[in-house]
Amino acid sequence: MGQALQGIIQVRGKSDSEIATLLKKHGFNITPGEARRVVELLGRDPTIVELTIFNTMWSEHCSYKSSRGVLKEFLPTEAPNVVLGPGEDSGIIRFAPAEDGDFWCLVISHESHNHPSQVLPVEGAATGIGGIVRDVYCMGADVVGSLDPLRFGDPSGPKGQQVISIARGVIEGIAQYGNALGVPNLGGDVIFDRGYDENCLVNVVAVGLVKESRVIRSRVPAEARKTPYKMILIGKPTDDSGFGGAAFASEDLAAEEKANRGAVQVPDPFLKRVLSEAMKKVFEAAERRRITIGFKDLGAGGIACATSELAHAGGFGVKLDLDKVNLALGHYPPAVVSCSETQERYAMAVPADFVDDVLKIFNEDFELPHIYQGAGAVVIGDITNEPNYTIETGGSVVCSAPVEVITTGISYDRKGKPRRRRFEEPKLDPRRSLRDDFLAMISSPNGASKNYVFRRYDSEVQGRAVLRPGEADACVIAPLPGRKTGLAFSVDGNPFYGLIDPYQGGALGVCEAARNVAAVGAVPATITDCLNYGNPEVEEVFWEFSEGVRGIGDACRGIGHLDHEGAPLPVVSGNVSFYNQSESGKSIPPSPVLCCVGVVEDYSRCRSIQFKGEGDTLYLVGDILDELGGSEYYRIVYNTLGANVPKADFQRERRLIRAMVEMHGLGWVRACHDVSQGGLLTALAEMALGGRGAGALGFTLDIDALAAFDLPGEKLLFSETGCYVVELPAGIESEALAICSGNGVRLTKLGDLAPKGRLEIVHGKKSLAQWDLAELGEAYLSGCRSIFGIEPKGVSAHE
Amino acid sequence: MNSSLEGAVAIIQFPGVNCEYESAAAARSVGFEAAIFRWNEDPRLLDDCAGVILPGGFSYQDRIRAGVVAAKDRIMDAVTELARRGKPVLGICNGAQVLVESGLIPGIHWEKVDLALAPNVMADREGYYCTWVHLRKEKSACFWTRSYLDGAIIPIPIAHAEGRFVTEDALVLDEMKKNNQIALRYCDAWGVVVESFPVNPNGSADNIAGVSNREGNVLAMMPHPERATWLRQVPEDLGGRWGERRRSAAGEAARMEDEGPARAFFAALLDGKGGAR
Amino acid sequence: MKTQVQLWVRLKVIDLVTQTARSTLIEKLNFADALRGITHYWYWGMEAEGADAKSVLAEIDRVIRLDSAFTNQNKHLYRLTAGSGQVLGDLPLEKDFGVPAVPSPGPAADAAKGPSRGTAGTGLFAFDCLVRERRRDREAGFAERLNARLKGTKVSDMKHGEVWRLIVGAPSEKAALGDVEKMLVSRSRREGLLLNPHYQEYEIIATTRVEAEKPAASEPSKG
Repeated sequence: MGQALQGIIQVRGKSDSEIATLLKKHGFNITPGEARRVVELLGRDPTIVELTIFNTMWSEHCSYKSSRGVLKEFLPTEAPNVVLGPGEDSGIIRFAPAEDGDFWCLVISHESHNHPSQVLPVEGAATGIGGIVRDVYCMGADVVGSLDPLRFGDPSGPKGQQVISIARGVIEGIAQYGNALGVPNLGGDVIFDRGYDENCLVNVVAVGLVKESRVIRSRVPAEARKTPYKMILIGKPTDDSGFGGAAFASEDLAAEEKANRGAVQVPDPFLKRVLSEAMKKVFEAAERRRITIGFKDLGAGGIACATSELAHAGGFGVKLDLDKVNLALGHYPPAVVSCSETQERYAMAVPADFVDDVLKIFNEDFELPHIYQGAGAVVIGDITNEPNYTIETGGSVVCSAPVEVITTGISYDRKGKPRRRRFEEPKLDPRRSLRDDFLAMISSPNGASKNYVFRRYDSEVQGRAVLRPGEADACVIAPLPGRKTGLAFSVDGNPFYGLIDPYQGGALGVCEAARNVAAVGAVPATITDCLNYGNPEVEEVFWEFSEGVRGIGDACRGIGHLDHEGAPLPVVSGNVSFYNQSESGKSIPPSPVLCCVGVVEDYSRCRSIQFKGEGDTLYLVGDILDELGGSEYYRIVYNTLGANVPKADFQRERRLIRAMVEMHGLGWVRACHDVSQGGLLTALAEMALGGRGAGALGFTLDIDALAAFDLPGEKLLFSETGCYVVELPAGIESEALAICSGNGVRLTKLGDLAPKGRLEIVHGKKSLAQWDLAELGEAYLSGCRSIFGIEPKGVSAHE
Repeated sequence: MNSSLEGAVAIIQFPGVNCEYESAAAARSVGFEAAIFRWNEDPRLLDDCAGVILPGGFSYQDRIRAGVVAAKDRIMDAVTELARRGKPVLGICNGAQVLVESGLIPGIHWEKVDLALAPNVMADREGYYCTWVHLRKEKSACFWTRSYLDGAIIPIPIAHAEGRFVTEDALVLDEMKKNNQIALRYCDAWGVVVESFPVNPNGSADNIAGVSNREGNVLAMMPHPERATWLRQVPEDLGGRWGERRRSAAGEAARMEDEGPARAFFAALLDGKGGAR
Repeated sequence: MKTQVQLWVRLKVIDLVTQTARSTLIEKLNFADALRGITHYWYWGMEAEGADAKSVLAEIDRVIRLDSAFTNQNKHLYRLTAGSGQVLGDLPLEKDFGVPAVPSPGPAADAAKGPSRGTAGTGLFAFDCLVRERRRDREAGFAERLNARLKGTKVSDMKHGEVWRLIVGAPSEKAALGDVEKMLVSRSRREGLLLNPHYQEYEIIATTRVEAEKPAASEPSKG
């Protein structure tokens, strides 16, 4: 064809400072060095469209340039149950056989939307959910749930008002999107700390179900070699989302509206729902006619990123005509149309003779253009055997490069340097009132019930819920009608451990997530992560990050998959969020967030944490060590981190998990709760109160029962060494002992449940503290009321 | 494209609803065919259906007000006519809001909007609220509750932001009471209608959870019966008879498929002439 | 010194609710001829007391800019007015007529004309209709919230709701008002949309006879 390229930008022959000025003028974030690399890859000066593509794809968010090396070095991604590891939009694992040798698979994706949520909490969080569910839909799966691990600043601190406003906005955004889309919330958590005052963390996980034979890949299928395939763009009309600077603003806008306009992404779960219903019909039609399609959702990098990756993954090229793209009203330059981040869009590669059917389903059957002005499905290009990536508009070529080149990644070797801080254990004051201290803990924002959060989310939609948020350590669903198989989900990641030791922060995150899943009797099957840290160009921060990842990797290998000897817990999806730091440069606490999915053979054996039966006995499974570093007790009562952070012991975790799974498998467990934040006493209180914060069964713990651990009372009650409290019926103690010793874990009897509505701690004959369950319940339920409940001084009109 | 729906339950899929699949599953659990019927399909295909369900969700994203935009859709002409002919019509949550904004409920004055499902009023929170509540079946001519004894206590989940039944016209409320149109009320686990939060989860007038028309074939209810159709859906920690039943089934996978507290809503279709003409 | 203060807030990005209201009024409720434009605002009206109108307005401005219960500068335009005529904010209220409701040939044509005039002999009226809930608890809450942060100024008699600015083409103001009532109040399935009289009520707080001077259609996508 040999058409001249339009829009060439001269980079060659310019000095670094000239290039820097040029880049700034166009609103680019890449460095002069990176711009030169583009020239090197292309063998010439780039067009503005090409440079825009690299600018987007080489952002930290898209390219993982600072993290790629570390992730590859430490994280295990392969195991016998993995169908698809990290690389496409979601990870996929097998979890149960289906008919005809097929397999039921869980699709999972894990991401962050931190910075947008700090600026616009409602829209930022909502589009976070919107983006993550798209990653699951585009694999051909039905989304069956989402999880939201969140971190906010200090609600009572100097920025308290803003923190509360952001926290409320984020919860509202997640609720608005997830509830409308019909995706149940399957867990999450909220952690407050001053370190997040200026950088909230909004991480999201989406999970879906699909049969292995029906997985749709994010690549142009091999069939395109023999039969012509077209590229279809589906969804919202393209606008200039993500291009907020004046350089890209539409000419039509009044000046006062140009500022910040591109920064706001408008979430539309309604459109997403209609799109997903239409997609189902397309998949069914493709299945019926035995047509293979390629499908990918559009995220950062917009049309260019999605179409080039679809082509590259299949070994093809693509030729796009930008004039065919359905635009929102306005005129946008080709670089904007190619790279904008407009939400609710997908790209689909289909055979030419299937195009009309696809367009009819979206545009007529589901009336997309009518439901949303300008929305629809439209053919925007042709797949080519020649592996070139070409974009044309108005008869000119604005981008032309080998697909391999345009999708070239970028990677840096950052340096890490250990952060040296001194930590000290506090001197315990024996005169403190245990009663008062515990009431303070259970009513503090971190210790209190989050019912004001999770009752804002629909946890019942789709009708599969077996254990809901608040009821147990992991939510459980019954995904396959008529079958016993259950799936369990938990998200964890205690940042206080990371402040003391970033390696333990990562390692313990995995341990806790796996423990929570085992606490309902499920076998941990896969891990996903979101790694939230500060500026990776600062050596101490990069060290925190690589230590955290090293810890995660070691934990996944050390705990392993119980059903596959020698295999690790595979990490099949994940995300890195860097640059979470304040204006003054202070970075957030190292905050790896982990999600664990477990598989349980019989969901009817998954029990809530609430005490069930008078006369039943409570046992501790595991050990209590002197590990209060980073504990809630030290932070609330002594206002210090302490030093003795729990040390992850992967072999012990694995043996404990196996013991719990076996106990559940025999059907004995009546209630089970892991010991984590807040220690044993918090676990007991939460079991007495249950998810609803009210219970009739109480318990008296004599700390003499724990004499074998040789620790002072406070440490017995508040150490955060990972272990479990389990409620078993009378008469099976010897069988329980057999299971525990068979797995090399300790079983310690704690005492019997009692019908009095009271929790009490005694030492022999001496009563150390007691609480009425009613007062405990009130403290627990109301702790977050002023943050998430009715604000006494009016609420937002907008949230 | 759906072929004739004779004998099947039609689940109307407005753009944005999201409970249509579990509603269909609930109808099937009592032996009925169920078909998801898009809002823009040929309404004549509905003529011979066994009944119509307007499912829960967020039709048109609840824009302007929940249910109001869907109420203006052309398919409501057909649903109105089916209701007039006596076909059973069940509106669940968003479906209830559509029925109220179409004037089909309370249906005292033809197509007149005599009620609103207004934003929740709750003691310690605002906005969307998802939890399990209890309902008491009231004496009424309602088709959909006829499988329950009067006074039956039904645990069931709610999940909504605009569920408060309210009217400006006190005469409407009187008329509804006179005609026994109040089919379901919020109550506690022992069947006592306590008028304050949380037993009344949204501030509804007179603890009203479900209203039928005079003839009884149309019911608008805010709670979700399709989410309490199987025993496995009942929360383990619920108090009362159903919670005990659920706990006693722990470890017995087969019993998880037993009937749940709200299947009887759908069972009403059985042996149903349903008043259809 | 007391003065009446009004705060108007509108989205500067696309307003999907208004888009839906517009298309429902035109296509399903047959207002294609009558409805010429529609804009949506959040509204607060209050009495403010302080030293002088200028300082009172500046102080209220300071607080509402920082409090996302009222405005978030990243997504909103707003206008703050005092009874004595002072104005603050970035929303050009008197020229803000929203999306032309009559389907137009395209962006270029839109830019060339403003909201289209009615046919010869008819008028074009803009009504600002304030819709409020009958329950007033939230209004008291907003007043408390402001007073907790204001210095040297106090507000009372808070009114809060949503304003639908409806631009209607009709032979007379009276006829136009009749149409407005029919667009606002849901009395039956076929009549009314924007409010349900069983928990909401409305009042018209401003009426403007619209002249087609400048193209308001520079904002076609904001609804």
